[in-house]
Amino acid sequence: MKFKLPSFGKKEEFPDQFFGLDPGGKDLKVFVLSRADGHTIVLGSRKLGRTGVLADDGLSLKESVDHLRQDFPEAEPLVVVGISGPLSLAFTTVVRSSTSRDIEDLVSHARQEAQRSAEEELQVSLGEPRLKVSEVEAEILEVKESEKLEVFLFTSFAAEPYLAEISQLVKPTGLKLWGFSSLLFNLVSELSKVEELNALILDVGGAKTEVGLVFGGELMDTKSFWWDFKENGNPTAFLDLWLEALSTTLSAFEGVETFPPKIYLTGGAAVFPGLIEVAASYPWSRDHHFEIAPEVVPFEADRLSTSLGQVALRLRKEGEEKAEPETEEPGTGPEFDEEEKKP
Amino acid sequence: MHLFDLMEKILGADNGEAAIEIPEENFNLLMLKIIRDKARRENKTVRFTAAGPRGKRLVGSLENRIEPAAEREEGERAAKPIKPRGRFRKILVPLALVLGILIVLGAAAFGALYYLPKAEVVLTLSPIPLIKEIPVAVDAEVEEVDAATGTVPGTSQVVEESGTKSTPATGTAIVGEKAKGTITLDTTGEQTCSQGAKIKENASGSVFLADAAFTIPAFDTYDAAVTAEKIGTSHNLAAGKSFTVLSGCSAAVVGTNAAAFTGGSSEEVTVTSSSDQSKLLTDLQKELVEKAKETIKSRSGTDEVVVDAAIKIEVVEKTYSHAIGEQAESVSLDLKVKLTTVTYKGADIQELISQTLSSLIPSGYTLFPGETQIDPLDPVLKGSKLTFQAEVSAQVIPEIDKEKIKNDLAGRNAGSAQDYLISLGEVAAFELVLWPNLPESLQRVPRNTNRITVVLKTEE
Repeated sequence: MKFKLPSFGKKEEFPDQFFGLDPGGKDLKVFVLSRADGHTIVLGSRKLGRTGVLADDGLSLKESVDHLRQDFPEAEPLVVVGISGPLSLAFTTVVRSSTSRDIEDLVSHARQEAQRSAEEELQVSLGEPRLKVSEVEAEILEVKESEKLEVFLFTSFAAEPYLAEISQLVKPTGLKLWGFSSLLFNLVSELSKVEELNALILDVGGAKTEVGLVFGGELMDTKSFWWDFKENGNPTAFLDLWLEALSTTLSAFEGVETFPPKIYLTGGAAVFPGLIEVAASYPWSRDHHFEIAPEVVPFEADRLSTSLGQVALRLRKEGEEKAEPETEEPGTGPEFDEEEKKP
Repeated sequence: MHLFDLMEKILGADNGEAAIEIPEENFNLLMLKIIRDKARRENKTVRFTAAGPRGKRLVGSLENRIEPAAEREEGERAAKPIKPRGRFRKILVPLALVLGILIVLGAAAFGALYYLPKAEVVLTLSPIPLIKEIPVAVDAEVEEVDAATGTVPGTSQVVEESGTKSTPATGTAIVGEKAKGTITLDTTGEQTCSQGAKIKENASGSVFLADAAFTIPAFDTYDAAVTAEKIGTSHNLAAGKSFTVLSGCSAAVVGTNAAAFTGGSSEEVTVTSSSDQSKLLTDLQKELVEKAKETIKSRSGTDEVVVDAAIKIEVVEKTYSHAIGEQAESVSLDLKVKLTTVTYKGADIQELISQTLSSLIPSGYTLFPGETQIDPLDPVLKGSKLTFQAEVSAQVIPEIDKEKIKNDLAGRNAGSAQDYLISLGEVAAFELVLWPNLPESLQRVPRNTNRITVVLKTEE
């Protein structure tokens, strides 16, 4: 049974053509995405290097967006922004309770707890005890009801200054900032449509690396660190040290008995010369428990960014469910969806 | 400074100690742990300094000195205590030191006595074997185990796998060229011979065929070009042989060859045989089935059970590099198969069996976990349903309350613990291992029940 939160909190109908923005540390990638028949496709895109000056980046982004709007005049001037990296967190919380408890109460409590825990984790992680953290999205992935009630709740959070900076970046473009969404969550949603995903996903950005741990098609947790991918005189040592950093990152995932057997490589810097080869030959099982040596699978360069299209698919589904209240299971409230039972 | 540069600094530390300054921007606790781990791997000491307050807090967090925001200011204020002065301070300081040491030693002794000793109790039980066949239906349409109907939830799996395999060719064939020459034919009346007329050499019996139709004028000779009927060197005839037309001419004709026949040759070569192709197909199909099983397990988890005999295999594409009889040293096969089956979770079938067998288990007994063997017999796959007879071999053991045993044993000396274990009627044998291995009079089972392990095993 799946229960949808009003996670994006927007009442208006989401358009068929819209903009997606992946604000990487080194590059800004902006796309025009189109939704049709349960899929999204990329109509057009622009990639621009960041200067490090927010105002300059905003103006360059505006120029790219203007070109795209000329090329695709039917695209709604609405943008969904992907978030990732050390200034954000995404995780799934499993909440257990007696079956008598009201699900909405339970979820509300779980969201507060997730917010508290995310804020504390980011404060400690960044050494900023007064850092404010905002909930970016929340979605109930699964509700199991047997002897106990089990709710699998996905939430993502980001540091408020980070979100404010992105808002400033978008402002000059004239696009309406529709909302933020975890990039890894969207990629996992997309991949989970074809297989029950058990994998580690490495988002190798130009300035940061993020590791997502996925079990049973659910993004359980993420860990990130800053790492600048740049030309180096000794690329072998450079990649060896990056792999060691990754190894420590895997150790930071608490309570994992066995890591999943697949490692997906994505992100703009995944094409760094030699990276795929060293990742494929790295002895992952030496320091961490894998049942079998994991298979390393690279994705095409923009796969992570374009997975932002999943936001539109989720929202359309949500909209359709709300439009058909007569199909809802009696007594489960207007936001239950029996058709989305997990296989 | 970039994380890579900081890690390199550790590598380059000559005297075994590296000083690392934590930057204020683009740095987090995980990166601090990465640097610490790197230093440990290199057997070097790392000394962290902070460029600012964030760095200080991160170093503090690494050393488990995390202070909540609200308490931080008080903490900072409390960091400047008023120092006792004069004679009072001279007495107070040593006294406090001695007291502190005593408290620490006492706490350490208590901790060592409470936390360090451990006991492992292995209880051997006499099991009752239980063997039963249970009809099972694995259904991809259901979501819960239903013991009444013997149904467990399943997952319809459709996997396409492709692969290539090659094997040395094992067939043989004789190939070569046919000998050619000219026969001078002689006749009294005009003769007409067709192309392919058969002419035999009288001594060897070698047969040759006329290359083209021809006419021999009456009382004349004709030089007919011929080619051996078969390949081989045996048809390279010397000059002066006698020939007779077997067929293809209007009347009997004889002839001789003025020059030797040449060009005949033969050799044995390796070719693809039908058994090479069928072996390749069987072996590669088997490999792809194994690959598909791994795909299913990686997709559905290692607990997913795939019944080999219930996999439907459909060949989607099949291309051999060489046809049967074609000359080749090795032959390869490109194969794409589609495998369809219904799988189930090991835990689900265990649950079904526990529920089904529960009525057969006598009171005071329980199913021994980990010893249940399930063999799916005669599996039948039909649509989204897999049915089979599950042959269940299980062991039933007396019910043991491990927690009660731990509580009863806690704090006993070795002799008393052994007496207690002997008194447990349902146990066939026991083993008690106490650590540290002190003389028996000093050995005790820990008071902390978390340090006692009770392991159940069955008699061989």
